[in-house]
Amino acid sequence: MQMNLKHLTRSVLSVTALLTSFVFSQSAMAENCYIMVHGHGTDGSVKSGSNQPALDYWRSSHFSQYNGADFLAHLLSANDNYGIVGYNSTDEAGYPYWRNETAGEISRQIIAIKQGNGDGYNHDQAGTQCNSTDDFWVVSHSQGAQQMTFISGNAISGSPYYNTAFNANGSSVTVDYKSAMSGILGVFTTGGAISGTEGADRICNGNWLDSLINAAFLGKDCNDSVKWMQTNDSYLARNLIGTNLAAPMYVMGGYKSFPGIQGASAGFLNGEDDGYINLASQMSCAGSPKRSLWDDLNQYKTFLGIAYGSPKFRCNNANKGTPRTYNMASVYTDHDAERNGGISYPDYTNIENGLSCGNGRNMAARIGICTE
Amino acid sequence: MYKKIIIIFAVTFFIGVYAFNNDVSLIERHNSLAKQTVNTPSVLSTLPTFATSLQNPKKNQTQKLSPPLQAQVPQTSSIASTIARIKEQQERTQLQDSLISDHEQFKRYPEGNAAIPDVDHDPVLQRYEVDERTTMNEDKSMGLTIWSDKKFYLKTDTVTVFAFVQNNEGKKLSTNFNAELLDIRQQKIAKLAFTSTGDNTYQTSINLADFSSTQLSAGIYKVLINDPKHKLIDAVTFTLTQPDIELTGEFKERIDSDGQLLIEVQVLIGANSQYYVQASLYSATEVPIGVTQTSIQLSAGLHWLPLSFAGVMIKDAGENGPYVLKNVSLAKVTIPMMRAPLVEPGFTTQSYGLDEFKN
Repeated sequence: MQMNLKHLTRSVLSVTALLTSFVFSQSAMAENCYIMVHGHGTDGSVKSGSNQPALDYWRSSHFSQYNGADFLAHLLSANDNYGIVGYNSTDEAGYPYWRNETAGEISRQIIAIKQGNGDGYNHDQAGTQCNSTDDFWVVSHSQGAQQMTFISGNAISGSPYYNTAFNANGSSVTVDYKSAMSGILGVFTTGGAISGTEGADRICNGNWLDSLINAAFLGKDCNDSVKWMQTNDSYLARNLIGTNLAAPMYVMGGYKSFPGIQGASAGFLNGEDDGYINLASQMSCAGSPKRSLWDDLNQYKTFLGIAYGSPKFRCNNANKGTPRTYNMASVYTDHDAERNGGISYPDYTNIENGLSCGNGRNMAARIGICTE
Repeated sequence: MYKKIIIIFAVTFFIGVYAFNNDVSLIERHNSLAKQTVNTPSVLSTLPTFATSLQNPKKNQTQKLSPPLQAQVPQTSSIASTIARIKEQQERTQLQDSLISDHEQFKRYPEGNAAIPDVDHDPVLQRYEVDERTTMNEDKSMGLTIWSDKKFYLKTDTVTVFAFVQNNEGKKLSTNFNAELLDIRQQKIAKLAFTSTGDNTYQTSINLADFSSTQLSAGIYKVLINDPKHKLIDAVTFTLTQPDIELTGEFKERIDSDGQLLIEVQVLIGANSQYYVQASLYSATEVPIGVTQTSIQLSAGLHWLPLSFAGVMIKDAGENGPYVLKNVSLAKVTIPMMRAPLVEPGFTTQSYGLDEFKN
């Protein structure tokens, strides 16, 4: 009896020790979970079998040069996980960023992903659904950055639209932004329409060249979604948020025009741009989102188009239009390649307060390297 | 007996470990969408955004939305433990260092407070700053620069808009503008005439009182400016605001039990709604200290609103009292936000010493 008791005790203690070490090793070696928030022009409410627009957003391309490119292939290292967020950002739906169908839907899906429920998408990479014990990051592109600015800026008590979105009737809807942002280590924005885009201005003001319109990114008409992406102050997410963001925001901007004839779109945007979004908006600079920013994130006096003298504005960490916003990188990439990783080793420009981790790599790989 | 105790312990332990690793399964789901909708804040009923939506059946279609989930997710404390783990790493990336620095800065004050490094970065003032907008032509040989004198106007105000065209040598050009006042549906309300101010800068004015309330209700308006000669178009927008909130000029102050400076402001509310107040605190010597905010549902009538400034934030500024409630932004929370014109109440507190505040 005595021997049996000893044996049983020893066995239980051994199992306990093993399990304890397992539990603690799990917490000590947390994996990254990247929560992916897509941009404009995708019906992410569809998720049926192989029809997965929100997932495909990150691996499809508008330009043949980028065929086969996949953002996730550049982002993920061994043991990394990801969760896809899908919401309806199409022109047909026309939902502005403050709607329940956009901000509300994104928040609910972020919460579900953080609970370790899986995102419901078929991942090509085995075993990459997020666990509830992971380190959580949000990765956003284009309109996704505008969405995250609104969500994160209203996830703190005392914020103007704290836990609030709006439905089709104009009534407010309670959405748990606070829980959505809880546990998020940081939000990455790539080519973010943080302060809108001059492209939306031109669509709504009637002076955008129709042949350059790429509906998937920007929209064909001045529907409500595009309307609330104009660069005028009245529409900006930064004016509908509170004193702080719930998580730090790391901004990356692109300054390459599109390949081929659509490269002409850059001629319609002030300052550097990625073909659709002014660099000043992508980097959440204070002041006008269409200020004439150079790829080093400075604004200069010019004569005959040539810059001279010291900068009259520097879009460093101290001169952001949103709080808790930090420069990450200024990369020679267009708006399409930003979201599919179509240019693996793009050029880049050194910027004030920029982060060097991942220098020489595309935006996806930079995130992966900086968070590893 | 011992055997039973050990078995119970073991079983309990295994259940605990299982529950730890599968906490999701223990979460109670709430599928009632009925709980989602509350009455305020709202999109302005006068805002044509939704009138447009209602006319378009496609936009009214019911979209399948995810049910609300009860938040059993990693909490803020998990951020602290994750940051602590990252700090222990011998090799860190620049981003991880930035993350640590941001976290320490963010957690130093209550989350609605933030220090103001200098007057130019006062978040309350930044809400009201007017941006000049420049639009270049395609070959970048000239640009149209436009701006308005304010962002938010009351019904009794006059909107003034300025414009000039400049070539790439910095020379302002003589030109003519066609301009229109549009509502948010892009419908034309009035034609506007620009006149020269003498240096090839042009201006136009809109006396809002000249329009009836049916012509101009609270909302966003656009002044579309076209220079056909140089093929340049851009627009400024402004908000015709109806904030329904104002300061009465009555204030209270004290250092509360948490060692924070608490300034209570009395407000007069005109309509039941959600309201937002953001305010900045300065020293009597004009040194900016910090900003605070509050968002609250209020009914019509008089109310006292608390504005809390963290003791540690005041101590970090190193400025002894008295303190000045310098800039206050009041707003009714609708879409768009009905922000009142900037208020500078000039309320001055007693001469508190820094040692009276708690960290």
